[in-house]
Amino acid sequence: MATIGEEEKISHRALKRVVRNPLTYWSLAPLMEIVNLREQSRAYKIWVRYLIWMMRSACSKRKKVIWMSAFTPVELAYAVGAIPILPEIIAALVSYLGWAPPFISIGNSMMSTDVCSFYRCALGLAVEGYLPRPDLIVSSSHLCDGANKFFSYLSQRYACSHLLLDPPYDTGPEAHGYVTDQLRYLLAHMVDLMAVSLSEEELCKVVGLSNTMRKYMVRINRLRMAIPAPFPGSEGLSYLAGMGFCSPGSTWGVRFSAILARELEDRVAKKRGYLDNERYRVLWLHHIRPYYQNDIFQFLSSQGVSVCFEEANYMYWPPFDPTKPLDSLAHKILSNVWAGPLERRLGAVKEMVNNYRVNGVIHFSHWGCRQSCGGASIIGDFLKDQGVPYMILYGDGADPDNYFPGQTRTRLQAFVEMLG
Amino acid sequence: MKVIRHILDQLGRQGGRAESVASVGWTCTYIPIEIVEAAGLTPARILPEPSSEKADAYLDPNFCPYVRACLGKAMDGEYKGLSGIIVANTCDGMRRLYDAWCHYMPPGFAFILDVPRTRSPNAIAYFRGRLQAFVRALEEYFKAEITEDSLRQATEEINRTRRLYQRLIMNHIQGVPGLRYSALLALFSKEWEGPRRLFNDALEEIVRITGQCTQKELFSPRVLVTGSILDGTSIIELIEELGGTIVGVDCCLAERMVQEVPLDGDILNALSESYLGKIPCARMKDTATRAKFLLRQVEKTRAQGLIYGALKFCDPYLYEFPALKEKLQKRDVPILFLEGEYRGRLGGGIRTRVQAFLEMLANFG
Amino acid sequence: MQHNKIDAGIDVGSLSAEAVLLSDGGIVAYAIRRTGANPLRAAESCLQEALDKAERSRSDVRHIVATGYGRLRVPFAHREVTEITCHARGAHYLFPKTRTVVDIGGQDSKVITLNSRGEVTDFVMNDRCAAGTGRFLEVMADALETELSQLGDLSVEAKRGVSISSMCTVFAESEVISLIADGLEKKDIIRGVHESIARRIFRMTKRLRIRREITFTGGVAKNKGMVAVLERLFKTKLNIPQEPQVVGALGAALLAREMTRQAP
Repeated sequence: MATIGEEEKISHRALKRVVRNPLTYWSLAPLMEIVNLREQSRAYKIWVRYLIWMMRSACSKRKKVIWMSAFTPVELAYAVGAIPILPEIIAALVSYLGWAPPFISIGNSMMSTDVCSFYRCALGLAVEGYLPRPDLIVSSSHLCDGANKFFSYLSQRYACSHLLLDPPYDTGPEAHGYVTDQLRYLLAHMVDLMAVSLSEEELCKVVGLSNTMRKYMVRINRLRMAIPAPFPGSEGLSYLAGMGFCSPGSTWGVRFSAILARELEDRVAKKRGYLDNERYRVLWLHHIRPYYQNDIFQFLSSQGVSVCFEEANYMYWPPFDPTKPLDSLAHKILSNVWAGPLERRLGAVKEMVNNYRVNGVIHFSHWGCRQSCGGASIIGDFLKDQGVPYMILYGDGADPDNYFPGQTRTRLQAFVEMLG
Repeated sequence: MKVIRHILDQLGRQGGRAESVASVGWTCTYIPIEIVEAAGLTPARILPEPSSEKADAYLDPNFCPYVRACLGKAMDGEYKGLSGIIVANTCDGMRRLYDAWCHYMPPGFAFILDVPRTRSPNAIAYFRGRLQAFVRALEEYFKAEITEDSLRQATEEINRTRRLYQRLIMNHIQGVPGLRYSALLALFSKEWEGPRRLFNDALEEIVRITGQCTQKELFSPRVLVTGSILDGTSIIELIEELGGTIVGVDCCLAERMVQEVPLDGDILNALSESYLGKIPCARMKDTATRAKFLLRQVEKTRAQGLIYGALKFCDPYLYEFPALKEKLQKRDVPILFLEGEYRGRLGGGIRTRVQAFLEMLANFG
Repeated sequence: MQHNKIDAGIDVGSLSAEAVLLSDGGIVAYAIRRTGANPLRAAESCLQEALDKAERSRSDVRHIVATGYGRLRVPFAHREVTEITCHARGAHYLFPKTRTVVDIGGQDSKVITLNSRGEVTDFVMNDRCAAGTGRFLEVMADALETELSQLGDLSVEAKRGVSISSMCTVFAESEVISLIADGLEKKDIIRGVHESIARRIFRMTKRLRIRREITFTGGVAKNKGMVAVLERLFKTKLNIPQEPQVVGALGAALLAREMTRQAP
C-alpha cells in the first residue's frame, strides 16, 4: 500500500530539475540584467551576478560543491577550486523571495519548531533536493550549536563527509596553534576526499584576494560613519553581509567591495544620505533581519530614523599576511567578537556606538538564536549605563508566519518616541 | 529496596563534606572533577531547583531552562557558599551562563573550560593544554598544589566509583526485584554529598547485595532513555510509574558518568583522552558513534524502544534528533521524542505520550 | 430472557464524555454527554445513560476501561488506557482496512498509524495549540456570526477558499474579521478556515508514514466541509464512522472485552 504524501507532484519534480539545471542560470543571467537595468547600485548587480554564477557553477557538476556554515572560511573552498554553498544564506534568500514557508514546514516536520527558522528552511530545501548536491560538507562550530549538528544530519542524509572546524573559546597562542593545525588538516582532507589539487601559491593568492576585499570593507565601514548615513542598514544586512559571507577569496568579492566603496565615496562627497531627512541614527545588532516582506525599515525611514550601521559588518579581524595564509585565517577566526566571552562583543558594540554616533540601538532577537539573544540583556545594561536608548525586537528572520506586523510596529514606534 | 535505603541513611548520618574544605561548583560531565578533588577541594554539582523567573530578564526567556535555573538560583544567593564555579564551553547556553554569572554575581574563582568537539590527536593535545591551565588556575587561586600523585590518587578513587556504577547498572539490567532506575538516580546523586571514600564503601555494599539477587526476566515494555535530562526524577519516575521498565539511561545524571580513566602514562593526557573519548553527547561532532552506541545498548538490554528526552531549547539534542531517528527507524526501533521543562511539572501531554508509547511497545512485546 | 454480559468503554474528554457498551454480538448502546466540571460524575452519568438505553444494569457490566483526558478520575474503571491506543482499536473495529486515524476533537488533534491488528505503530499529538482543533472552528463561527453546525455545508458550497495565513487562533480570528470587513464572500472565508485546519493536520502527518485507508474521527468529523477539504488534501476517500465521537470509547470497550476474554 502506497504511503500517502510521498508521491511527489510531477510539477515539483520538474521544478527541482529546473532549479538544479545550470541552463536555468545561463538563461536567468540576461533576464536579471534587464530586470536590474534601472537598479542604481552597480554593487547590487554584482551580487545578483555572483548568485547566478554560484548556482550555475554548483549545478554544472564541473566543479566540486562544498556546503559550508556561515562562518566557515570560504577561502578554503576557493583555494581548491570548489564552489561554496551556504545553506543559511540561501535560506535567507529564499525567505526574501517569499518562498520560505513550504520549506520551513518540511523542516518543522523533522525538527522542533524551537530551533532557528533558517536551519529549518535550509533543512527543507536540502531534504527536498533543491540545493546542488554536496561533494563535501565543511562547517565551523562557531558561532552556534546549529552550525555543528545541523550539518551532521545532512552529511548522513547525503552520505558525504562532514569536516568540522572547531575554534576554541580561548584565544592564546595554544589556541592559535590548534586552529592553524585544524585548518591544515581540513585542507589536506578536502584535497583527499574530493580528489582536487591545491598549491601553496593558489592558497596564498586566494587569501590575498580576501585581504584586498577586507581593505575595501574597512573603507566602506569608515565611509558609513558619515552623517547623513550613505548606505541603508537593510541592505547592509542583506547583500553586503551576504557577500561578506560567501565571497572572500574570490575576485567577485574584490570587485564588489571595490565598487561599493567607490559608490559610497561618491555619495559621501556629495553629502547624500539614503534618507532625505535623517533625524536619528540607529545601530542594528545581530547578523540578520527579517528577510521576508515586512515594513520595519520602511517605517523607520518614514520616521527619519536611519539604520546607519549593523553589527553584521563589523570588521573584527586584522589584515592578513598572504605569505602565511593559514596563520592569517586562524587569526581571523580567533578574532571573531561573537565567539568567546561576551566582553568582546560588548567592546565592539561600544566602538560602533561611538564611531557611528548612534542615537539608539535595536537588538533583533531572532527566535531560536541562543548565542545572540543570550547576550541581549547584558548589552542592554551596558548601553543603559551609557544612556543610549535600547530595544530588543523579538522576531523571526526567515518565517513570515511568525511575524506580527501590528505588534512590531507598536514597539518600533515606541522606540522612535524614545529617541526623541 | 529497603536495604539500600538503610545503607544510604547510614551514609547520610556519617556527615557531609568537611566545612573547612572549599567547594567549587561545576555544571557539566565533561569537566574532569579528578582535578578538583586532587586540589583537595570539594566539587559541588550544580543541579538547582527551578527558581523565580528572575533569570529570564537577564538571559532570554527562550533559553535552556537548566541554565536559567542556575542563574536564577545564583541570583537568589543560593551559591554564596561556593568558592567558585567551573563551567565548560560545551554549548551556547553554557557560554552565556558563564558570561551572565560572572557579570552579575562575580564568583571568587571562575573558570571556563574549553572542550573540543572532536577526538583528533590535535584536539586531545589541545584539551590537555586546557586541563593544564585549569590546574594552574586552581593552584594559584586556592594556594593548593596538584601533583601528579595527588591527581593519580583522586582519579583512582573516582575510577572506583565508576567501576561500581558500571557493576550496579549491570546488576540492574539483569533484573533486581524492587530496584527501579529512579532509585539508582537517587543513589548517584549522593556522590556529591559526603567524602568519596565513604560513598564508595556504601556503593560497594549495595553492588554486592544487588548482585546476589536471583536473576529475573525484565518485564515489558523495556525502554532505553537518552537525552539532555538534568532532572531525571520527573521523566524517569513517570516512565516507571506508567509501568515501563527502564533498562538504561544515557544522560549526565547516570550512565554518562561511568567511564574509567586509565592510569598509565601522563595522567593529564589520560584524562584528556578519556573524557573526549566518552560516548559522545549530542554537543560533540560525532553523531554516528552515538547512534551506534545507542543501537548496541538497545540490543544489549533488549530494549523495545527509545525515549529521547530533550530539554526545551536544547539545541544540540534538538538538532541531532532527525539523524538519530533515521538511524533507529532503519533498524525498526520505535522512538518517542519528548521536550521537557527543567524540573517543571510534567503536563498531561507528556504523560499521555509516554503512556501511549508504552502501550504501543507492550503490543510488540 | 438470556442476558449477555457486556463490557464498557468510557472516554472522558475535556469537553465531552462518551460511553460505549459492547457485547459479543457488537455495540449494544452508546451515550454522549458534556463533561462539565466533574469528570467522575460525567463518566458515571454517561455510563448510566448508555445502560438505560440498553435496558441493562451495572451488574451486567463485566469490565470497564477508561480513556481520555480524565481517565485517571474514573476510579471504578478496571484499567485506564490512552486515547491513542483506543482510537486505533475503535477505528480498526469499524474499518478493518484502516491504517491511519485522524482524530480532531474539541481541544486537541492527533494522527495515529496502526497495523492490521489495530495496534498503534506511531503517533503524533497536538494538545498545545487550539489551531487544528474544534476550538478553532468555534472561534471562527463566532467571528463569522454563523452557527457552528452550518459551517460545514457553507464550506462545501464555496467556489474557492480564502487563504488564512495566521497560524495562531487568536490572530486568525482577527484576520477573519478583517476579511469580512473587506467584503470577501463569507462562504469562501469559511472554506479558508477549513483549509487552515486541514493544513495543520497535514503537517502533523508529515512526521509519520501514513497509509490508506484513513479514518476520520472526533466531533469535527461530522463536519462535511472538513471531510471534503481533507479528502482533497490526502487525495483519498476517508472512512467516516456513523458516530465519530465515540470511537475512543469504542476502543476502550474493545479493550475491556479483551480483559474479560483473558480472565472471564
